[in-house]
Amino acid sequence: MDIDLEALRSVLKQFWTVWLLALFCGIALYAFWPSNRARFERLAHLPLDDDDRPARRPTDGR
Amino acid sequence: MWKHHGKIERNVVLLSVLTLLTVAIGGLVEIIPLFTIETTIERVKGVRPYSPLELAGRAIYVREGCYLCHSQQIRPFRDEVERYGHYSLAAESMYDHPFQWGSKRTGPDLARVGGKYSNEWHVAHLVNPRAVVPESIMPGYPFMRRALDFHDIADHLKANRAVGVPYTDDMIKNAKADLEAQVSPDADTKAFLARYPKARVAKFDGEKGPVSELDALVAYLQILGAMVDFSTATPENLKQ
Amino acid sequence: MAAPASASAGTSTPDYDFDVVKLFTIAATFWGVAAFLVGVVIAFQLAFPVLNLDLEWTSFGRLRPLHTSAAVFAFGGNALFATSLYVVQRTSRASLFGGRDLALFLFWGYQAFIVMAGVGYLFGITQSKEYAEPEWFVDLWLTIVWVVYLIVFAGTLLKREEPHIYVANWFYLAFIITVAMLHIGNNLSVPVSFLGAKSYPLFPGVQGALVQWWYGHNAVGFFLTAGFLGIMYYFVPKQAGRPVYSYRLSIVHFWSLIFLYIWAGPHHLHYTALPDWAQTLGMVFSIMLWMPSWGGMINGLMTLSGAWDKLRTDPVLRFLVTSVAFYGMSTFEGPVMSIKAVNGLSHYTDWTIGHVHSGALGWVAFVSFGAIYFLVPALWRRERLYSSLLVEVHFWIATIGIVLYITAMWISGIMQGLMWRAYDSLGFLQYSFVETVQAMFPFYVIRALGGVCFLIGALVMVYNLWRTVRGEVRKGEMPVAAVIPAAAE
Repeated sequence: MDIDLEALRSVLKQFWTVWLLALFCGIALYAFWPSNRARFERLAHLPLDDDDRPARRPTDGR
Repeated sequence: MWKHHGKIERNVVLLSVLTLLTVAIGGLVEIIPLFTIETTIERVKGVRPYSPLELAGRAIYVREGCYLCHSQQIRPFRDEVERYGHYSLAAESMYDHPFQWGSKRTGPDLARVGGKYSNEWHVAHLVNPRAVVPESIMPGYPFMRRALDFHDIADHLKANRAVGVPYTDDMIKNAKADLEAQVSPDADTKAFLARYPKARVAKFDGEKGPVSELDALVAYLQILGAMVDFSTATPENLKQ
Repeated sequence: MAAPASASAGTSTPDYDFDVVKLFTIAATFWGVAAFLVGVVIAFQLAFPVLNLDLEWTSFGRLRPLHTSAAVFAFGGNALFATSLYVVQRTSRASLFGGRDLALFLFWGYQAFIVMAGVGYLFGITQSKEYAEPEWFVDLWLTIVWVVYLIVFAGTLLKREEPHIYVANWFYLAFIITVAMLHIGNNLSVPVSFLGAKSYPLFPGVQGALVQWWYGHNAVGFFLTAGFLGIMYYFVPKQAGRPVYSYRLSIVHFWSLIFLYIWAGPHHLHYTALPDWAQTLGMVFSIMLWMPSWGGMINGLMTLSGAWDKLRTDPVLRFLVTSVAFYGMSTFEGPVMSIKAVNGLSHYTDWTIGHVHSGALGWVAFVSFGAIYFLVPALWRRERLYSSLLVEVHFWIATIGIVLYITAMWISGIMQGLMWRAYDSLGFLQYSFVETVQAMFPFYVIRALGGVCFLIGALVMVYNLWRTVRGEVRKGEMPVAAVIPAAAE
């Protein structure tokens, strides 16, 4: 048990900084990628556009 | 429809998995080494499992929420060491399930309160704190004069053994007798003291009756910080 | 997946499952008042110890977990259930997964958890881990309820008719998943017997301490922050009538917040027997946490850019926006207190208590009040609240209460810390411990009065909501200019 955890830890120890950096860069790139801009602006309106009834069938995402 | 559904499903699951991965990593990196790195716990002599009476007293300490106002963790600052004694070692709470380090000092730290006051003082203070310390804001615990319920004390030792406290078969077998021995200063307590060195033997509450909750709690308070012999602890051993 | 049979019938009535949201809203309000009341009682106990009554069920040590659990899990928890189940349905355009029965199980199951835990505290049943006091059998029950919560919430997301998952739901989902992980990890224990309440936690001493504060800090990070950010990301835009300032910032906010928070626990254990490297790691991540926290705050506040005038006319929006400001303040104070040199002074003192309450009262409670004021007219299909003036009264009296509370705790905390380490000219400790206790008295009284203000504010809210549910409007009140919850249309 201990040996497994220790192995896991040493792997994580090497990679968590890389994972942090990669995750953050990836998220930031994704969030600020120019072609995503319009889509995100539309999505921000989601709570304002909601209906008072559940949709009957899949919407087209407007 | 199904194809569409599959994609949506993936997204929720993907979001969940990424979230779990992201939140799991920090805990794993911080917590696992504490179990594997040897230097987390210092090599000092004297720390032993609590005697049955002390363990019962500790359960009362937990029950009454004492940890909410009293810490058991002395930091390595000049004023704290002067006020309370040697800074706390990880080894001193290695048999504490759970730890009682606390997070607030509405009252003083208790990590080394053992031996600082007499049993009589503790009893008077617990029953009515303002009788001994007029400015105290601690609640009174007069109801602790009642008899201690210890019919299942051996089970408590067993449960502690299950989580890693090195209680021996001998200790478990004698749990009830040991508990009673600790409040019987006139009886033969040699075997008891061999199992639990440095345990204080007394009828702590000064009353003749059965073992009381006060007996248990005071026995616990009197052993706090009194197990480690700091005259033999070298800086080398304390190094983490 | 077929829609419920009843749904096909009507077109005017929505078939969202809002009944359970109503129940959770009522429960949040009820437990909120209970939590504030117990808080006031124990605050007075610290000033006047005679109020402990020398009875075992009424001593501070047993009532304090009742207060914290009622505030965090009963008031905060029910507010999170109410808002999350409301938001997930509306932004998914789908009714709850599992339908009415599962939702009702969720409601009563969670209330049963609260009652079991709370009654247990009064009888001294506790495992003495802060914010995780309930014993093993209550923990097991909560695990079942929580899994059902995840099923209902994620199931609703799975059957959603809106292609995208709105960001508020991300925060709610992270809150549910992470709290499950923390709850299980921190509560592993061995019961003494299967018929008894007592158990012994698996991890001892230093390991137990880190696991506990890994849990404890992330109860703050995920229960009291991520979940309530879900509230912010839905209700602030909704009440302001404008989309969130930057959806892209909210994505970055989400990932960096959940990544960084989980590391910060060791700052509760500075200068203890926890190894130094762990303390340092906790401190570094706590300081980094300042960035996503303020990113989120800016995102919430800037949602109002161009509509600041609404703050003058809409007291509900004022609650929401003030809560975000308090969020910014306490997430600034937190990293400062996690710096070891500062922590050396602040730890073990009332400063920590003040910090917690600027977050709990200013952020958590205010954003919940805002959401409740939004939800009640929306759920009961009332055109407006009974009285905006009373919302305003609530706002000001509660704000005064918070200010009294946190300034009293700042002063007493810093004073305590300084008195403990004060030396006289001969090199002796200047104050005995009990002298520092005595010095706290006036501040404990002021703090308790602050709590009384906060409680009175909540009672004003209850009255206002009660009249609203009855469909009344206070005489002579003009409708507020801001967008009143438009659900009824």
